[in-house]
Amino acid sequence: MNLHGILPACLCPFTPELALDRAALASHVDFLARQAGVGGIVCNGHAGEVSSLARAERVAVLTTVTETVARRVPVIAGVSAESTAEAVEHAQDAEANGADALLVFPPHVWLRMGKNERAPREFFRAIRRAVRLPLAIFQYPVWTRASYSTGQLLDLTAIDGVVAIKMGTRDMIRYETDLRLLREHRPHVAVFTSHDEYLLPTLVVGADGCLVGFAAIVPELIASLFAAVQEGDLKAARAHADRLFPLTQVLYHREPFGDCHSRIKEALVMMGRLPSAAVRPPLVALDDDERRAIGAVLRAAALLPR
Amino acid sequence: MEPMDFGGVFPANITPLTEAFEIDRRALERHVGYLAGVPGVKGIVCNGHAGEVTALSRAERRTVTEVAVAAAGGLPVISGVCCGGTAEAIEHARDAQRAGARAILLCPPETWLVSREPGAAPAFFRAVTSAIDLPVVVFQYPYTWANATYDTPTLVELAQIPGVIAVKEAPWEVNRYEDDYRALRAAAPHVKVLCANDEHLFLSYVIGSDGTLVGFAALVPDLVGALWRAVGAGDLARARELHDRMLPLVKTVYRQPPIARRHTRLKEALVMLGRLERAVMKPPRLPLPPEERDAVKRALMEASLL
Repeated sequence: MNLHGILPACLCPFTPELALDRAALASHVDFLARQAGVGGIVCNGHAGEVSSLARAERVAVLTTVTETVARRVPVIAGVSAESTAEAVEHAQDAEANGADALLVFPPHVWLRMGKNERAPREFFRAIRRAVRLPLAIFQYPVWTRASYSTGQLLDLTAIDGVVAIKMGTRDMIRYETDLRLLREHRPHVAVFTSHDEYLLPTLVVGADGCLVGFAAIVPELIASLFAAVQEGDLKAARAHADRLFPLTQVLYHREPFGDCHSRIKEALVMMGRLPSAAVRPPLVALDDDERRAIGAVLRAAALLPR
Repeated sequence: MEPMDFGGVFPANITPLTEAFEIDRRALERHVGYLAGVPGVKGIVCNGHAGEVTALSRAERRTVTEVAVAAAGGLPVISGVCCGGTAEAIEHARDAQRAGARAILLCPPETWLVSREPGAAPAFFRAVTSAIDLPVVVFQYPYTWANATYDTPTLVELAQIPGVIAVKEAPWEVNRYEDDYRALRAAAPHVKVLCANDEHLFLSYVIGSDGTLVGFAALVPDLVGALWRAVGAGDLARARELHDRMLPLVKTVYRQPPIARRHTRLKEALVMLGRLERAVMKPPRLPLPPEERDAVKRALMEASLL
């Protein structure tokens, strides 16, 4: 498996009654799969509101995505669970339903409780024993207790079958330190930046692509930014970054950060690409001020349909 | 007074001391003379944190400024003003003017490290700027020093006060650097943004800067200048080469806990490079332990400086 380029983490459209809208999901994912520079689709991630989806719904999302994408690009399924046993169940579901790889989330209990030094390795090994699919590690920001140390990253990537990392480090010295060690000791592992809100610096340091929810709304802009950095064209890269910035600000720079996917949904509705911006509780709908701010940025960026 | 040319490197200098912990005037003169002669250096900053300002008496700070002005060969000298209250800051700023400084670098009053009232920052800056003749550089502190750092709207407000000519932008983080940089560009384009993001110079330059005012440049003014110019010219390959060369040294100086030793490490490195006779620090700072000296030496060798 040779993952590269832009890997959008897709949204999960709901009807206004909060049921899965499979038709809207198909249309959303089909659009993404058609974009130049897209090297895969990630579903059942944070952008896909995975923690709000029941087990059967996660399967439904995956089957809709794999049917729609129809092997144009790899499909990576998020696996997010609190226990190893549950993670294994989700992993097996994904393997049985056409996923090409898995993006393994850390159990969120680690955020509050911390984790034993040996726990991550055991967790990944258990999943690896249960399925034959390639695995991607989700690295959380360094200030969270679910983040893996440099040593743990090297450990986890030594496991046969671990092929990629979604790097959300948010500390550029750690990002670079880890990247260099991985390049040297784990050259087969693809490193994807997960820094939606500061792509340019991470791409300049180095990455095999971008695995981000941001690419579910502007895949073509992010693909252009990636290409410019790959070509060493700083001037072009800065121009693309300048174009992205107002959108970055309105989607990611407001508190709470966690409303970013609600904002992306609203934006996609305004762009005519989603029928409803409904999000599942405990997420709440955005207020009018926020919607206006998003609309204004989209208008100024000429992203609204004419 | 003609406007200062900030388009280059302003090393934030260390303060050489004798064995008796007094200002070593001759060593300071020699070091400032050296810095002033490096191509790309456009001015000298004294009495900053790298200069151990908080441990220097008022008289010592005056001496440092006088010696620096005499040795800078006509280049502008900016003196740090780092005090407990407004009245003291004004006195120190007037001292700096009498000593020949062309501007002051205004630090947050010490109590803001604990807590800061809304409105206090603009009030402080207005009080100082209206009481002195010298222009002011705003010192934007690291985001981890939470209450003494300015949020972006406050920073923009400060930048719009008459008399403010530049911001020493040292959030110690890349995302905040970008937010501040872009906001200042948009709302206060006459104010120069001077990158002071010691650990993240390369990436911060990529995001953008009008110049660079930083302690690390007191150690390697030529390399910092070359990096700044390479990024300015869009030469990513050359910039990366310089960044790669300096990275082990950056990490050794700024990343090893305890970071209380960062300026001691700078002085030790300067001793190893033959630019300082001794690395004596004002108490309460302690001499550098031998194993740390070895680490500094190794990092200098990795940077091909030794």
